[in-house]
Formats: sequence, structure tokens, C-alpha cells
Amino acid sequence: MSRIARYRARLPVPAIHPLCRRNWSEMHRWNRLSLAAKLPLTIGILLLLACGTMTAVTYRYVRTSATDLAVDRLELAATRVSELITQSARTRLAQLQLAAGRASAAEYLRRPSEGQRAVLTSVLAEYVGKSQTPVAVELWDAEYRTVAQAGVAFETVPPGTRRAWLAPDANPRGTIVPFRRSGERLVYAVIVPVYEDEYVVGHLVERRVVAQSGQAAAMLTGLIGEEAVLLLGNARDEIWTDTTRIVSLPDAARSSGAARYRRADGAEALVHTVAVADTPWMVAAEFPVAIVMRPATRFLRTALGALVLLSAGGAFVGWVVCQRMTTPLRQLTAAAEAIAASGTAPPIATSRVDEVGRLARSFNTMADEVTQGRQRLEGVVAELDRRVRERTTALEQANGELEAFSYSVSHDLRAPLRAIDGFGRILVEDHAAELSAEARKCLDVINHRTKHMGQLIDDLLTFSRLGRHPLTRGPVDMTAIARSSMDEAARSNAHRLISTVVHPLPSADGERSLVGQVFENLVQNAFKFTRTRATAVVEIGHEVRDGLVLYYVRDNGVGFDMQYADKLFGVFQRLHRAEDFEGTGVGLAIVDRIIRRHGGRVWADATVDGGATFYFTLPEESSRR
Amino acid sequence: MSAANEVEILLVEDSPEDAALTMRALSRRNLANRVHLARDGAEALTYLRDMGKPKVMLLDLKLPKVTGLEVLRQVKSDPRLRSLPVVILTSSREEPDIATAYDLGANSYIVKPVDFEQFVRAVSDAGLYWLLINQPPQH
Repeated sequence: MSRIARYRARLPVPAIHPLCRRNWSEMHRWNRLSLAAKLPLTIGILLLLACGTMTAVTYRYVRTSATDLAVDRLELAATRVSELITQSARTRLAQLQLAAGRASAAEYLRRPSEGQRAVLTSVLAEYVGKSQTPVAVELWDAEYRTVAQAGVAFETVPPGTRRAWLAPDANPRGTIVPFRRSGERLVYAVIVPVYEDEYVVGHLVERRVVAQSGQAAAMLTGLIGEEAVLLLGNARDEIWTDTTRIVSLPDAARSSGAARYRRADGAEALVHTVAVADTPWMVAAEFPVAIVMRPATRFLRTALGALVLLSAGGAFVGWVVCQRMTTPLRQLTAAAEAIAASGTAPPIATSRVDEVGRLARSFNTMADEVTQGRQRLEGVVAELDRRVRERTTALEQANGELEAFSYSVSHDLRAPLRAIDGFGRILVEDHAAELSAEARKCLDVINHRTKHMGQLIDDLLTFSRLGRHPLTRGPVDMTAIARSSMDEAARSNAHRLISTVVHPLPSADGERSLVGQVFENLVQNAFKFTRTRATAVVEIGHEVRDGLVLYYVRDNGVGFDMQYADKLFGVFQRLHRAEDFEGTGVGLAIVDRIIRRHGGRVWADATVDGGATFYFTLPEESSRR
Repeated sequence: MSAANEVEILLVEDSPEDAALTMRALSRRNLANRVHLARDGAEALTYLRDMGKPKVMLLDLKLPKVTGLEVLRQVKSDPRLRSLPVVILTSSREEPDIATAYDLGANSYIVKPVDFEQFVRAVSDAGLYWLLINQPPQH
């Protein structure tokens, strides 16, 4: 699992598009909601918006329609009532004229007699008696004075006022006078002239209290309902009545046509006013707005309820659909997490053929691939592990063999050498007399070469040991060990004239004994190859080149040809003849191996007979933690 | 142990040449006549068990049958023999050998020089030191 985690850690982090980043904070809250919440919310809000708009539009339409309908009906009602009143007024005029004729009013006015008066009185009484509402009938003479009267006694109107009731352009057949207040009631008058040879000699006047006719009330109720109110009044002033009491109707309601006004009781009302033909009156039919709007309000209440129900239902359906949709998604998520955690997941069972089903099947394919890939990878890793183990075993075996070999070399190779040397000496010691000078010379060669071989074996062992043992690193005081190597070499060459210089050196990181060996070998070489110089100079110091510390050991010895420089550090490679300078050819190979194992580099710079400088680098002390 | 025991040096060495060279080196100091030579580790242990403690044991490490280090371990873990000075005389310059030998209680470790003169000097000096200069415990 840790391997997978490591692979995953190497995956590049996807870059976030700046646009996405900008909107992130705004979308953050929304994005945190799960799909199961978002879809129902969206559906609910959309339904709410759509149905809300529709409801608002419909409500407006319903209101307008209700108003229009009410206005139409009010108009119809007002018109019908006004027609009724007109008809009634004409009837009154006709009846009054008839009564005037029957009562011989003109004759009575010309020649008032008891007989005429009795006729007049009986006709008037009969006229009054037929009426169901309080009524008075008066006969005025030419001076507008009352000469006869029947019925209830209304207050007396002065003759001046009576004259004013009859406008100069009054209808010659009769006049209908505007309403007048009489206490808490409205009273109107119908006046017909009484002619005598085309001259008006007086007037027959009917005064009557305004009352609701049963016919009008029934018609009104039938037309627009009980809530409707019928108003009757003068076109020119505010004296109006609803037939039971006097009301005041504002100017706004008094103009002909439809209007809307606030009633004295504070309620708003729709009103339609119509002038009554042949009279100075108007009829208004009104209706409280609240009642007109009742269907609209009822519609609104129902629609809002439906709206809430619909939105909630939509949201619920959305939630159900979302559950259906997200269940496979949740399974996918769980499976993906399982794959991430363990590399395998059971396939997702789906019989769906929609996008979600396709996604599930794609996922199953991918999961198979991942599992197989992981298995392949694990196979490869196992194979690699196995190979590493094999190699390690082989290496350990080889190392062990090398160890045993070194041990054998160390022990078994030296023993015969020692025997050869020893018995050669014994030959010289014990049998000197029997040996010729030539034989002794041969034995010297044997002795010399045996020693050389002993040295060779020692150097080789040192060299091979360097490759096998792990380094024990630490800070190394380079100045101290350089000085120590120089002093040691100087002591063994005390008979020679040698100038040695050791400059202070920066510390390095490495194994102290091995770095010491490097200085020892380089200094010994320097001493060796300066043997032919009258005054040898050996110098140890350092340079800093490209930020890198270069330690060097410099001599003024015989040097060497740089074209052989590449052979300098090979085992058994020598650039000088053994007769001139002894050596096994391993010393610089040891130096090279030590420096390489420390991660440094060693090289030389020399000219034939011009001395040599050996440079090497080591890790800096601070490079180690 | 017994005063009658003439042997002062037990030399454990499987190589006849090295044995001969060692004897020659010891003879330089007249120490060769009281040397007993054991040709392997088992023989050395048998000798020590049967004949008692010499003044010093010169012990090679690479031996047939029982190795020198094993002989050393047995000697140093035997209360009776523990005080016997053991000088390792070997060709091995290997650091592990040296360290193990001292861990097991070796009294000295000499790498046999290849050069005859040096060899003679090393062995005879060691013999002289352990036989004549070194003071063993009295009991």
C-alpha cells in the first residue's frame, strides 16, 4: 500500500483554472451541498418561480376580468333601472295629465265652484288612494298658489321656489323636478301644466317620497347579486338616496360611466352611473370591490396552496430521482475509494442502460485494468525484489569468498615466501664455505625479490580491503594529518636534505585513517621521486577552484610524462623503472580508491623532470549532517 | 606444574618450514632445546591437558583440526591454564583476527615478517622476553 501511496504522491497536482478559482468562494457553499440536496432544491425553486409567475399573471387576469364583468353588470343594472324609472316617470306624467283632464282642473281654475271642487277633490283622492307610497297631489293656480290638495301634507314650498322648479324651456307636456330633502327622506315632484286655450292657467303637481320599487330591487338582485346597492339622486347635486336613507355621493361617482371610489364607510366600491332619461336624475349601481375581487382572492389562495404543494412535490420527486441517480454514484465512489486503498474493488452490479449504467460499466473496466495493472506491478516489484535478493546473496557470497581469498593470500602466500627467504639465508649462514660468489649473488636476488613480493602482497591486501569495508565518516582535521604524514616521512628520510611545507588546510568529511593513508602515500611518493634532487621540496596546501577545495601535494622531483597520466592510478602501473625507483605500483591505486569511495576525485599535473602535483577533492565537512 | 617438566615453550605450528625457522630463531638465544612442537590445535590441547603448563605458548592461527583461535579460547576459559601467556605468531595481518585474538585474551600478537632477518629478530626477542624477562605468577 505504501508503494501505491508513493506512486500517487508523484502524480502532478492539477492546476486550477483562474476562472474556477475566482468563482470558488461564491460557489463554495453551493458546491458543498450534495447532489441529493441540489437537484430537489433546483426543481423546487424552478417550479416555485414558474408557477409563481403563472399565478401572478393569472391573478391579474382574473382581477381584471372580475372588474370588467362587475362593471358590465353594474352598467346593465344601472341602465335597466334608469329605463324603468324613465318609464315610470312617463307613466306618472301621463296619469297626472289624465287626472287633470278628468278633474276638469282648467274649468275649476277658471270658475271655481263647489260642484267643480267636489269633482276635483274626488279625482285627486282617487289618484292618491291608488298609490302605495306616500304621495300628495296639489293644484296650483297661475300664481303658483295651492288651490286644492290631497294626500299627505309635505312642507309648503313658497310660490317663488315653485316657479323656479319650472324652467322656461320646460317640457310643455310636463316636468319632473329634482329631488328635495324632506327630513330624512327624498321627495320628488311631477308637474303637468293645466291648459285653457293653449294658455297655462295652473299646474297639477304630484309630490312623492322616493321608495324602492320591488321590481327594481328584484331586478338588481337578479342581475348582480344581493351585495349590489342601487343609488338614486340628482345629477346636479349630492342629494342621493339608497331609497332607505339619504346618502352623499361624491363627484367622482356622479359622472356618467364606470368609476371606483371610497365610500363613506371606508370600503372601496365599483360604481356605474347612468343618467335617467327625461328626468334630472341619475342612477348608480355600485358593488364593494372586496366582493368583486372575492373570486380572484379565492383563486389566489387556491393557486398559492397548489403552488406550495407542487413545489414540494417537485422537490420530492427530484429527491427520489436523485436518490436513484446517486445511489450508483455513491457505489462508484465507495468502489473508487476501495481501489485507492487496496487496489481492488468488487464490480458494481448494474442493469441500467443509461449514462449512469455506462459509467458503472466503464468504471468496472477501469477497476479491472487497475487491478490487473497493480497485479502486474506487484509481479514486477516481486521480481525486482527477488533479483535484488539474488544479487545481494551473490554479492555477499562473492564478498565472503573475497574475504576468504584475502585471508588465504595473507596467510598462505606469505608462508612459502618466508620459507624461501629463510632457507636461502640458512643456506648462506650454514653453507657459506660451499657456495661460490655467483651462487651467493643468486641467493641475494632471491632474497631481494622475496621481500618485494612480500610488500606486493601487503599492498594488494590493503587495496582489496578498501573496497570491502564501509566508511566511518567524520570531520577530519586535514592540517593535522598532513603534518603527521609529512613528519613521519621526514623521519624515515632524516639523512636527506628536504624542505617540507604544510599550509593550513580546511577540514573535510571522511574516514580519518583512510585520508591519512592518502597523505602518507602521496608524501612517500613525493619523497621517493625527489631522491635525485640536491634539495627536495615537498609542499602540502590547498586551492579553491570554482568553489571547490582542492588539496594538493607538490614536489620538485623527476615528474612524469603527462601522456601516461591515465595509467598513473591503475594497479601495478608504474611510470618508472624498478631500478630507478622501487615500488609495487599499488600506492596511487590505493589513493584513487580511497578518494573515489569518499566521492572525491584525484588527478596529477606534472612535467618530465619538472616535479609533480597531485590534487584531490573530498566532501566538505559541512556537507554531512 | 612439575618441576621436572623441561619444556618451557609450546610451539603450535603446522608448517614444518615455519617450525624450522622458528626453532632456528629461538636457537639464536639458546631457547630451542626446551621447545615442544604441536602440529595442530588438537595436539596442543592434548599436550596441555596431559603435560601441564609451559612458560609460554607460541600459537599459529591457521591450523588443521582445531584453529588457533579455538585453542586460545579454550586455554583462556580454563581456570588452570588461564595464566599461560599466549603469543599469537601468524602470517595474518587481518584486523578481525587481531581483534578477536585480543578479545579472547591473547597476551601478544606478532605478524611473522617475510624477511628472514626480521623474522628471526621478532621470534627470538619474543622468546627472550616471555621466558626470561616476564615474571609469571608463582603457584
